[in-house]
Amino acid sequence: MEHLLSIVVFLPMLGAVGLAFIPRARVGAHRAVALAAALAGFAASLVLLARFQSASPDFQLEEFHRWFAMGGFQVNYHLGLDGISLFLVLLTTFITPVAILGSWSVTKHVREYMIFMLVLESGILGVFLSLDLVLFYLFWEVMLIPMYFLIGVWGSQNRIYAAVKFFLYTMFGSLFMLVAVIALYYWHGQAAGAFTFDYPQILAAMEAGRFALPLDRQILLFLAFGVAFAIKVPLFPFHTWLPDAHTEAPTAGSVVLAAVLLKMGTYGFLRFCLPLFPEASVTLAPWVCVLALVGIIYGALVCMVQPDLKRLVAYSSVSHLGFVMLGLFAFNIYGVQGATYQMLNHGLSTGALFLLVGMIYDRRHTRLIAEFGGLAHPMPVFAALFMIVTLSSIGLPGLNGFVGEILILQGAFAGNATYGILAATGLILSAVYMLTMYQRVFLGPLNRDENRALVDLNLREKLILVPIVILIVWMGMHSSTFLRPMDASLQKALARVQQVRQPPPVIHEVDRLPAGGVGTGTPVPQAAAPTIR
Amino acid sequence: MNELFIPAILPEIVLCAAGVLIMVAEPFLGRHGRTAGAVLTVAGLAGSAAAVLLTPQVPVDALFHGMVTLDLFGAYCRLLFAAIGILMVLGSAAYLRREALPHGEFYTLLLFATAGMNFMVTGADLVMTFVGLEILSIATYVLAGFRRRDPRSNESGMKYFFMGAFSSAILLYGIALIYGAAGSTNYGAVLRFMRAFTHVADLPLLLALGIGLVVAGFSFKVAAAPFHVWTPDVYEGAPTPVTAFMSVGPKAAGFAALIRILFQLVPPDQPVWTQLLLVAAVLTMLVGNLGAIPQRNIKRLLAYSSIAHAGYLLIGLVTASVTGLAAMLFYFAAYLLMNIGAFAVVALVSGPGETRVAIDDYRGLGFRQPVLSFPLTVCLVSLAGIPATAGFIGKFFLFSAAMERELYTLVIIAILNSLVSVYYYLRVVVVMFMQEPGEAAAVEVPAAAGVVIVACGVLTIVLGLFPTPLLQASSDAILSFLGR
Repeated sequence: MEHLLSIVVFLPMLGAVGLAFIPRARVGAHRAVALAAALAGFAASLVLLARFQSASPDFQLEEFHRWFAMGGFQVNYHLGLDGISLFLVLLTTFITPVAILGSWSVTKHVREYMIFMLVLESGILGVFLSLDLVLFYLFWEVMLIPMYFLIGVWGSQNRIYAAVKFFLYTMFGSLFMLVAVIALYYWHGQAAGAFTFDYPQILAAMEAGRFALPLDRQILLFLAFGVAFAIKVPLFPFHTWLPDAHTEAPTAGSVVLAAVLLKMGTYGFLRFCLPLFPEASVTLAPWVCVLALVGIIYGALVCMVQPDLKRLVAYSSVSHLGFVMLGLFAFNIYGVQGATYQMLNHGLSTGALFLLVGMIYDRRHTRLIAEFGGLAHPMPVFAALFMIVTLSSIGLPGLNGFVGEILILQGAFAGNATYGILAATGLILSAVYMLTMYQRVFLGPLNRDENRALVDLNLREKLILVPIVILIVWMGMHSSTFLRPMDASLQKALARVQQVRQPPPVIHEVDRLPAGGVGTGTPVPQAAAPTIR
Repeated sequence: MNELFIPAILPEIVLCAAGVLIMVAEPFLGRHGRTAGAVLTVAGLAGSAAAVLLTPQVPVDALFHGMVTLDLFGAYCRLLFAAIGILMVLGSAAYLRREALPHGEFYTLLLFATAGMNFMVTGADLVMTFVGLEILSIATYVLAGFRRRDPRSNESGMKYFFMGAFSSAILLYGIALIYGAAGSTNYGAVLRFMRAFTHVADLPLLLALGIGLVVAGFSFKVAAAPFHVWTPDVYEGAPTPVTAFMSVGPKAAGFAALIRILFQLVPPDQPVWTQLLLVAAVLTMLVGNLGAIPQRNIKRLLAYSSIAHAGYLLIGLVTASVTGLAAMLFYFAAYLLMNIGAFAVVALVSGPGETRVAIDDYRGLGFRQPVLSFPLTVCLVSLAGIPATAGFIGKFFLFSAAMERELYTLVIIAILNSLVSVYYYLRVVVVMFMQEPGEAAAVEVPAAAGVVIVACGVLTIVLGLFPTPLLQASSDAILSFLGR
């Protein structure tokens, strides 16, 4: 029996348990052990990458144990990895050590802080790897508690409000998901004769036609799952917890929130809503797309008038995640590939932006854009790295953001030209607010005395940022490294929606892919999609 | 089997003998009395548990001329009550010393109350169940007013007594009506009588009314709306360990007796009172959760939370299914751990004379005293029903049972209530960990109480991650009498 996935999930937790036994006063040891545990987790996940079979669309390295039972009620411990979760797992294990290394400025209750960071990582990894619906729900909820503490104890001024709001919002959504999980259990059991929470088994029953959900039930389940995911994404108008949580959380908290937590929502849509409820997905797609577009443009507009650096980055997430949702609900391979790619991009660039903002906050104890200006003079390295990340965030060709955005736009245009045009507007707006912000912070005369004395990045801070920048360039220049392993699984996830949906007539025009080595987009099997209804 | 099969009531004999022994011996033991009393109580409770475990649990409907039954359901509940008692003794010894309360009487009353609860769950005759309830109630009235120099405790004892007497009268009236209609108070006899009617509408009004009154009488005990009004005041005024006991012991015993009556006296396939119970469940959840929001006193907060949990448990009765009833039994155990754990912390933090019971008194406790704050957090998180805790497993199966019966609206109401409860449980966590610490002195943690607190916290998580043995035991217990 393979245990690799369990090792990846629980290594950080093991580190957390170990930390609990180190005396409170030894702060250095806490930091070192936490970092070591997180790095060990990263190393373990690299083994996953090496063992992963790109060609297969199925779950790999599966682990299956009985977990708990009452009468006929059986809940299993079932983990599995596929092309969709592979890079999200890697992103998580990559971002966590970076975030821990970026938390040296935390001096209050360091041990507990590190414990919560590691437990959080375990929870998130569990979400991405669970294949049993109850197990998925367990990890989904468990990860709330460390995040709640991270925001509430180590956050800034308004932290308690932000922490409670974050918790209640997420809980609201996930309770509906729990009801949907139980409903799916009974409906599947009654139709297929086998009661189970096992996701692959339920999906297989659906594919084989043993279990068909009528449209009204699909819509109910889609909405119940969807509200949990939409809050996490966050899809407009469920986004209001996000600016508070991101702004109030400590730097590392914001990094993990933005880089991986939000992806749990989009991952949920891609993993569960699209394959399990394809007809409901198609029926509700216009609504989702419109909300995504509103999010894209609304988020960008708020960013343009945002005086607070961290809040600006937070709102930019609303806008960027709108892109991801739009790509997913375009229901073609370009859109979905772009969306998955954009999840990773956003993780890297927004994570880096929060780290950068944290670094300047540590020095100046303010985040107001108006307090800065001309920072490129005292901090040239900082300014240069900030520039690269900014350009990645607005999608400069050659950097990672471009690949994701162009794919999403292609997908969106193929589906509905209006969506594509509106989304492109959002892209322009993002360049406007990011570059304006950069200009106001880094360029121009250095006209404040406090800013003259700023010191540039130290070695630790460079160590944090350089790996991210390398990945940003790598993902921009050679995207096939990342796109190829996803491909088979994404095709499979899309297959059921595409069966339902009539193929868009213009799909052939987008086969010609521009720039940056995007070229893995295998042609969409549209011929095999006669309409069912 | 012999009609007078002694092992069937051996646990209660052990409990009562231990109680009497403590009463007699205490005056002669002087200053050793305290420890001796505690040891003897634990021994009595452990003895009763051993007696349960050693008795073969072949289901027997009626022993002692139709007075008690012997089955897994009774065994499960009696083991649970013994566990409650042991945790109570360990958790309250230091409290009794601090408040200078008489030890011997406390332990004796606890033992008698446990014996009463045992009879409530093994009774095969309404009269027996009623006698059990009275043994329990009278002991609890005294315990509620145990701090007799404190007006709050007096108020609590008095209120509980009046309310309890009132509910006993209602219950007794119901029993009388059932006797009038069916000609017997024996569960089996009433069941046979009721089976003769194929339609619910054909039942004699007298009988329906009688069962309704019996259910109402027990609703007082389990603090289900609209019979919950006494709960916050009584819980607030009673000595904290007694509050802990009232919130888990009589509640579980009351629900267990209700399960027996509704599924062993009433034919299980005639769920007559489902609609009424459904209304009561919704009302109880709403009253408990909404009432808890504005509370500033932690004992009152937990009182409302206990009402809310009565509401969740009622869902199990409404479903009238094996899953739902087994989930209730599991929930008793989960609720026992989290509530005793929480109240044990409250008892320690409250300080001499129970002066520090406001939620604000917990300010800064979080990182200052992790031995108290982390288990308390686990207990609260479990009460809120968040996964990886026993509370989640309990709620998960209760909600699943309701979904099985397609009670979708009820489930939606229940989850929205859970959401509300998250808010007020988290508030305590916020105060402990996130607000600026106050200047309160450190709370001294006696060893025994510390063990209880940590054990409750750890077991809550263990049961949340590995619930199978207990789940299996609870479903076996339900099957053992639904199958008959």
